[in-house]
Amino acid sequence: MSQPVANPLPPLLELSSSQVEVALQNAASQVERLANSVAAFARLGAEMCSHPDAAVAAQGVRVTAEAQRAIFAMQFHDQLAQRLQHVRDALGDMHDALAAPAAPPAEVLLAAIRKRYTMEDERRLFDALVGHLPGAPPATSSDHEALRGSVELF
Amino acid sequence: MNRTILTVDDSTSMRQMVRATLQSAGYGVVEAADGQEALEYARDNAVDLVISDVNMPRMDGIRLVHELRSLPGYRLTPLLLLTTESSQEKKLEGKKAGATGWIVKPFNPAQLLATLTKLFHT
Repeated sequence: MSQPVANPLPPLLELSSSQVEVALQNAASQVERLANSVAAFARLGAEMCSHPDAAVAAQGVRVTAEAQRAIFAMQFHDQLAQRLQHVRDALGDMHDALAAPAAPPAEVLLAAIRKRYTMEDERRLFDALVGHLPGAPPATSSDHEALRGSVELF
Repeated sequence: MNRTILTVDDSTSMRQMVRATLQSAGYGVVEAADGQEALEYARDNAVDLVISDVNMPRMDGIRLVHELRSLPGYRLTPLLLLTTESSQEKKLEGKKAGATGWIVKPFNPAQLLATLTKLFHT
């Protein structure tokens, strides 16, 4: 059994990052399987909609509507996966900074973490808890929740 | 007329969801896992519309739009960006690169199909 290290913070950060990565990988294969089932459900609905029997076609409309609701809900995994990837990468950055012989300046580390974000609510939360970084574009007031599914044609 | 749509996303499950939506409406679907793969396909093949994610490895969606607009066959092709990114700054980058529209994930299948109908009939 190995001895505890003098500074447990870097290995603990690495451990946390690895745990998030394992969770992401475990979920991905199951979600792909579920997505396949939803896709098959949508295809079935489309086939039923064009059936000559009106009763079957009417059921097809219902199946299609349910499949579309499932397609919408399934996408929350993609959003969750992105958020977890950003947490994993931030933990990795902190590990690398603490393990390096000469740690980078804090503002460099923080800017690298914030730059990875892909959602405005992530940036807003970062700015609220860590503080707004000089030079970083401010997060807009609208949150991702309100913009979900929005379509803007230019 | 059977139209073909190129969908680009590094998430397999997202590609499955977009494909299921498009195929249920009778569209043909071709998939790419990042901008680079999509661009390589587009150089040799024509498609009627492209739906691309923004944040992807190797080549992101905004760069892809920029590159596609430089191809003679893609100057007028509708190019939609489908992304979790909702910042005005990024949206403006997409518009400047030549994107036709911006859709924030998660997409509503019925709304996406209505958007395609609109684009194909204008």
